Amino acid sequence: MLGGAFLLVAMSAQDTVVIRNLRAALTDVVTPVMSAVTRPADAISEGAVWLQEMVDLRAENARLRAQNAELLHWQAAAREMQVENSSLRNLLSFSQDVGISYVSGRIVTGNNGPFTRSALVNVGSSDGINRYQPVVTEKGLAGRIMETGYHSARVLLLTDINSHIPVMTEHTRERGILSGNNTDTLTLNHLPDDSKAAMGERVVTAGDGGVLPAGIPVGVITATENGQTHVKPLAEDGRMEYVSVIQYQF
Amino acid sequence: MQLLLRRFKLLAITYYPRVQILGLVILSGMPARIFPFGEMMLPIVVGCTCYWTLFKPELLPLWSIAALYLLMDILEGFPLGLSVFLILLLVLSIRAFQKRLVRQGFSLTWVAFSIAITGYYAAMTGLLWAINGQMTPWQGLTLQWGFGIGVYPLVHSWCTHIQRALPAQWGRR
Repeated sequence: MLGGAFLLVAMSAQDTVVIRNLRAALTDVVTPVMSAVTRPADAISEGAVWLQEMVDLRAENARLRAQNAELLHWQAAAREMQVENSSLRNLLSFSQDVGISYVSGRIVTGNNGPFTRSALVNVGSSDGINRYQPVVTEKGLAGRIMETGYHSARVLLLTDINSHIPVMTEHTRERGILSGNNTDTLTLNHLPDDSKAAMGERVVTAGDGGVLPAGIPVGVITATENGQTHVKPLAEDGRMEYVSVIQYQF
Repeated sequence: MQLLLRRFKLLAITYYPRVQILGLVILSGMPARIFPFGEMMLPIVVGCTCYWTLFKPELLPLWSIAALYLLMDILEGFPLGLSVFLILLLVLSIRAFQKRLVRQGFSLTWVAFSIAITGYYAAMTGLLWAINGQMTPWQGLTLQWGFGIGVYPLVHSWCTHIQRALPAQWGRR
């Protein structure tokens, strides 16, 4: 049995098709069970949130009114830009080569330990999910699909040590590689030596390599020390419930 | 009715260690929005496995340990078979010294467990390093390892309490 287990580890390390299929079959069995187990707990926590929202209703209403006024201002600006953008595209005969659609799923298991950072979602290849597709929450990029079963898929979270994605800073447009390290903070490497990226600046996907679409918000620069830039991801690993998988064709 | 109750008791006794570990493995895989302490469950799972292997090995056969840890591999996203291999190595080591260890007092059992979990974490870190080509950051690792050693007295006391609560039925099948 010990030898069998070691053989399994060795084959896993090689990432063979047999192991990938075995893993996919096993996650397909486990995911519906975990989905059923987490449903009641989610219902209870949603109930608690609902009660809290009822208590905070008045303050929330005032905050939303203020936010609405601000958003109306931005809506006007966006409409103006949309018209300008469209006329500039016509002027350049610009052809749009990117097709994007979304498939939404629910996180049924999550792991934020020191060894790995991943999650299982209850959508899989039967829903059109493929390996390496980006996974987003309403706040920003959460990770990428690493394994797909028929009804399930594993998301490698941005914070995992094996996650490395090409990004750029939103304003200074400096490109780098954002890497996870199994903690709640990401590290931004390979920025130019004379980088002007500052604390508080947002980091978005660069779109290099064609794996991820450009412009998805990823995180905010929180510190720069000893030549290393630290980024706090916008999508919080532990808080995610529903995520969308972007079906992106480059 | 009494017969049914006896059968239920017997089932509960026979399967308790497996059900306990299964519950803990499921908790370890829960998303943090539901159960925020999932990442700290791994050393508790290992602690319980070591306890039952030492004190009631007949209630925790090797195949059931392998199945439970395979489930852990899937939930935690470890390379398939990693936890199974490491726990089988640990369990077989405990079984080799079981007769000597089982007669010792709690302090010595705790020391033995500390050595066992240190070996388990060291081997897991080493194997993951070999597979990923990157070293696991030490901060989270040390915290979990330290927690594992610190929490063992509670795990030991919990399992002992259960073992004592069902004394008359042990071993009867």
